[in-house]
Amino acid sequence: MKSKTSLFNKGFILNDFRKYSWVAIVNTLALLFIIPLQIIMINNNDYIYNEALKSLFLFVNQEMQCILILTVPVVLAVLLFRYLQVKTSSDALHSLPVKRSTIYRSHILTGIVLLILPIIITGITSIALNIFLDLGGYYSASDVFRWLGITTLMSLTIFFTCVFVGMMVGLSAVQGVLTYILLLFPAGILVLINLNLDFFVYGFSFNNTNLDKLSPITRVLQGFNPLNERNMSSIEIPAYLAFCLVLFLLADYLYKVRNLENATQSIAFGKMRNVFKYGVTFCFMLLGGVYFQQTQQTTSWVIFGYLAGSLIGYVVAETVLQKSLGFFKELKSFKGYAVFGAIMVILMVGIRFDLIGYEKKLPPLDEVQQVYFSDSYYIYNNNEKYQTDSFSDQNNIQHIYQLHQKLIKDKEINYLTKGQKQKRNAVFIYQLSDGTTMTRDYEITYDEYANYLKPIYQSEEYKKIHYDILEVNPADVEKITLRPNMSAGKYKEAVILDPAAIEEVTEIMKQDVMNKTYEQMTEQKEPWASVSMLIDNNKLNNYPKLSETIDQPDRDKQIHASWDKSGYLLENWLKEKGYYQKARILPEEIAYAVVEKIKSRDQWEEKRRTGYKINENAADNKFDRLEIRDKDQIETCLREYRSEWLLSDSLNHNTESNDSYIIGFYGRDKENFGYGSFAGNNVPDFVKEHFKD
Amino acid sequence: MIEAKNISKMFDDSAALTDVSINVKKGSIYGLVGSNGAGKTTLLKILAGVYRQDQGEVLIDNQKVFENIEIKSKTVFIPDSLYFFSQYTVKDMAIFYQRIYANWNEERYQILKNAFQLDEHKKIQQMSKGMQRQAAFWLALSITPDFLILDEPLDGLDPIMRQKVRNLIIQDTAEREMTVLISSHNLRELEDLCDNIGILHQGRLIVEKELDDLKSDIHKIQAAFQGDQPKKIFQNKNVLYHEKRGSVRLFIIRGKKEEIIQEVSQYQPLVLDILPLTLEEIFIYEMGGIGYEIKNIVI
Repeated sequence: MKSKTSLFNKGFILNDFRKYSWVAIVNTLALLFIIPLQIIMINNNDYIYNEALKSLFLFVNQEMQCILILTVPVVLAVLLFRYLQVKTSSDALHSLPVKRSTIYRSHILTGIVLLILPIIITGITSIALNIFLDLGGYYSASDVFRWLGITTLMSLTIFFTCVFVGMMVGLSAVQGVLTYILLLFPAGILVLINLNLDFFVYGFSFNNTNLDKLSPITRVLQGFNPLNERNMSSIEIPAYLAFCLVLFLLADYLYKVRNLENATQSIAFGKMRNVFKYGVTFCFMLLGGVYFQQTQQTTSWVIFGYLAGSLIGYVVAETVLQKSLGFFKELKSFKGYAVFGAIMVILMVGIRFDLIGYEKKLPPLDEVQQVYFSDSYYIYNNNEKYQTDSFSDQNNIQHIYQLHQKLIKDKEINYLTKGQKQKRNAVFIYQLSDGTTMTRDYEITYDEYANYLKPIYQSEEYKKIHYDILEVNPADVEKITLRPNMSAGKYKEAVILDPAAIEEVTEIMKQDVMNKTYEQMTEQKEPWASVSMLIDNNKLNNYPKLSETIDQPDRDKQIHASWDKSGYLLENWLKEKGYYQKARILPEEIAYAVVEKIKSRDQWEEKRRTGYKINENAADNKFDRLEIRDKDQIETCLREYRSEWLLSDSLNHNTESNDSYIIGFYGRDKENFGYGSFAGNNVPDFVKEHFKD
Repeated sequence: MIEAKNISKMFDDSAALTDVSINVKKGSIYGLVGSNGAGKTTLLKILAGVYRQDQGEVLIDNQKVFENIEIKSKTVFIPDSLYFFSQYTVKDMAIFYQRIYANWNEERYQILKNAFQLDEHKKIQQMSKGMQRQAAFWLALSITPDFLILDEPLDGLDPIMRQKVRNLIIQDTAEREMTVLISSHNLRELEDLCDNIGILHQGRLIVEKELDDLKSDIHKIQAAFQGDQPKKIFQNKNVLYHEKRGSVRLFIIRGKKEEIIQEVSQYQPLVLDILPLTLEEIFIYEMGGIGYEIKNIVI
């Protein structure tokens, strides 16, 4: 007699192995092809790319591995619990003298073994190959073990999710589809809600950088390369384990309370049908809103999107639940939709009229300890590592605060006016004395707030955040290289090796940065040259941004700066010391330059598309082009030109764009050295003169 | 003993069973009759511990059945639509059952092999429907259960096999005091097999009787009298049905056979016949209104 409390049932386990071992066999073969065979193939190449073997174990460009991780556990879970979704098998197997929990645990055990075995076999083979082929230099046993752990953990997570879903539904197809939906759900719903709030709430902030870690699917697809900061963190591992355990217990419980007669129903629990129905309706509503928000950007289209989306969602959910379209005939089937709609209208009106005062809220100034202010979240997200780039100077905090106050007042100017002006984000993150943060994110045209931005930009703190050179100790620098931004055929660069000169020029460059005015910082002129300051290997730790990538073989050991057009002190110094000729392109190197007027956005698009930015044939449009051969004029052009890509912006947003020009610089053999553009107040006078009617 | 006490079961919004109680005595064969959708299958699945009732209590050997391994290992349920693992032979299934049921009887299995004459190495799903049912019986009887619950078991069997299965059931009942609950939409099929009959109609149990009681209690009498029918005849008896065919009169009467004959004899009938009633007729007359309603189901 078997014990009543037996954990597993031998009959079920052996039966499962007999029926489903093929999944593991196929998976093993696939994995052996993808990893060990790949190792042998790469090893046969003459040249082995340094990371090629390692990346096999880090999911870097491993599409096949991702596909396996994302499908095999689902296939296995669907097959193992298929009997629950079919009446005949469900009835027959549950009349046997085995408890539901015992059946459940037996299937789970089989599933885990069948999932892990192929992974272990592949791991052992990889380690064996490492030993026999002497590949220790390319990957180590610990790489394999990490891969083993990650693959197992992710497979189990997906497996248990699918098992859990299987207990809730009564159709295998629904189980499969719903598993993927559920796996994407945490990230997906956050994106949907945030994008919708972003549209409706002025200043709503949506930091989406770590979103892909919230869904196992995106997590796997992104890979686990520590160099991209994708490694499995010490929080993630216990989180996934806990998630698996919770799902295991929940599924066990659901199995016990499940009514077996609900096999072949879409959703096996009555109450969950409503959750499903209104959940789907809600998600479709948000999706509809986002779609029209991204394409049309007007409130009326978004509301249309909500209506259409929710209705489609409701119909889809009902169709799945009823497994027919019969409910269409009865008007009362839409009663639920009406109630849902009413609640949503109340919710949206509440949000639209800012009942909780979100849009107008500002923290009390004296509680602000630090404030992060930038046009993106990017630096903020990486901040924990490189200290904080926030402002803590009282003057700066006050200036940023005033700008923020002004933005709140300017809701009408900035809210939902996206298409009309060239805008960038303005992100405010306040660190308050009680340890909390408050975040707001606006889209504004920076030029309109020049008065507010000026004191911030010109402050030392701002410059320290944005110009790495200010933190450079000349003693740490081995070499400074200036590479001209535009090259006239022959490569040239100015190299400074003398420690005394390095010290001098570093100080000069710092001076230049400190002298920069707001206007110079925002003029967007192309710099003369890029400046690389090679840091001594032993001093890298003094530069947090560089030491970050210290394990990388091709790591960056240089601090980057630039020789801007406004860097007059540097210019003089270079002239004085004789580096000048090599550090920039000279008018003497340029035979001639051609300026053309860009009349419309369409014309520019046409030029961009064809790649012929300047008409090669001079005879064509005599009046539309200006050929410059005078060296002084060429020098003026060199000093003033901006990137040609800025044309898109000025043509896009500036309605009175009567003054957009493109310039090309050419050598003696008509070879092109580069393009640039003029617009607004940096158009040289002789250019204006020429094109005057 | 199999007992269901006031069982109710809803499927979504519709009631499948309402307040059903049945009582199957140890060592007896109980027939559950009803049309399609009457709730037979639901009731049997609840008794077999597959479904859970919303209300009421299901006891086998005075123990609750649901998730009760001890009871379930003594019980075998053969559902109306059979299930075998795909690609499995009878032998494979036997090995599976052997692992599941402690009281699997290999000897019995070998003996029954001769009775059924099936190829135990043939895949069951490739067999015909009738052969699959035989395989199910073969496996079920090899478990030597104390309680056997059968849903429409004789469907799809040819008359010879039908008889064979009946005999096997009766034999086990007699020898091992196996308790059998058997359902059918065909009353006649159960007539010579069951000790008790219960009729389910629209989720309710309308009759539950011992077959012997029923048969000895109702009588069909054909009589012809000289002249008119005596006015006072059967005044004190319970006449369920009365018909006049020419000079012959037909009575269906509830009561003791001797008393009825005695009473008729008083009026010196020219003809007096006591005719056998089929089970079907008994129910129809017994139940009056409802009887006619279910007439079409008890073919």
